[in-house]
Amino acid sequence: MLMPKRVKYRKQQRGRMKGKAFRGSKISFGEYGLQALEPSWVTTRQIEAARVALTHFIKRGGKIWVRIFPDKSVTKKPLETRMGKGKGAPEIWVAVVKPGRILFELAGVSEAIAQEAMNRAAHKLPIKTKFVQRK
Amino acid sequence: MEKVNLEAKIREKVGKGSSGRLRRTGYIPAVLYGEKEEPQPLIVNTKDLEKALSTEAGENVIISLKVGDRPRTVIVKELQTDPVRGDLLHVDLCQISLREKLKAAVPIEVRGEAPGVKEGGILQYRLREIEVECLPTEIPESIPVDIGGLGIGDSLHIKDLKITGDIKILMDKEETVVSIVPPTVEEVAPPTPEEVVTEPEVIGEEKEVPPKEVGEAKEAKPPAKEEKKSEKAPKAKEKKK
Repeated sequence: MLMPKRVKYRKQQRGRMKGKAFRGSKISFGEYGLQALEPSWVTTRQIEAARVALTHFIKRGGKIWVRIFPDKSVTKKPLETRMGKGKGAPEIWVAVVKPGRILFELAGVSEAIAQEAMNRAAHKLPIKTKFVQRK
Repeated sequence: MEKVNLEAKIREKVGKGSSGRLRRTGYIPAVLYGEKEEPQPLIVNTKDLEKALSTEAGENVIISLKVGDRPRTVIVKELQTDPVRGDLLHVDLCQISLREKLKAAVPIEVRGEAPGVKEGGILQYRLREIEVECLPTEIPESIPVDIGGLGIGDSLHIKDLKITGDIKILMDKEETVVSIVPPTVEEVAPPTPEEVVTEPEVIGEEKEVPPKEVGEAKEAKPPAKEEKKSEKAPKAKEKKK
């Protein structure tokens, strides 16, 4: 599962997901991409599930790039705990995704295969996405 | 290289409010600079600009810009687009002299079929554009890259490119342009998913922090139970009464 190797602080504030992603919004490595259309946190498990769906569909051939990394820790308080007594323990790692962000890239496959593979990966994600292609 | 005509008007109102209003009416804000002139805010018709950029020269097109009565020779220096919709948002136009050399990024064009790709390898681009220096009229539409002899693991470098004319490449000659990489093989799922989930992160600055925090966490839990007990205790007494 994806997570940082070293972090400076264990816990973070939650932040806001305002605006669009101007960085990381263009296809940089492959021929095809999956672009986010909504803001959301994408967890390590969701990224991994989408990546597995991609690799499983294209089997041999093709190359995949994962363009997001879950570098934000999200804390949770244990169940049946009263409020207060400080912030909870880090529970999951998420990537902050804004509309326009390229999530995955693919190369070395035909357009039809890339579209179907991206469609399968999109089903593992909590946001609306669209298939994009290098111009 | 062909020259495209484009008309522009002088923009008097600047700022995001007026720029937004402009974009909604089918125009985009632009700025003209270069040739030792003061930067001039302009208004350009979006469709006309899209048409000018749709030639084979792409973004390296030479534009004859008509502002008022005086035509000027300009190139597109920067193009801003909406990350989701892809609409044009703003364009930087740089005035140039046709007699002076300039720097331009020229896209590569892959030609031929690599034997490595037929064997199952993947053609991977390391560079999509090559930075060159030449006269504006001599900017090539693309630089041909012949991949005819590449097998799996082979790569083609800038020094291998055949470029004709008075064009100087501004990049390192040893830099790789394309390579044929072996295909990705589907990974077998890890047999112990429990270990992966419990993997802790390492804290950067203070090495002694994790054990302390673990200790604190252990210490923190019992008081919570004690509180519950202490809260329940009076209720129990009340019931007895």
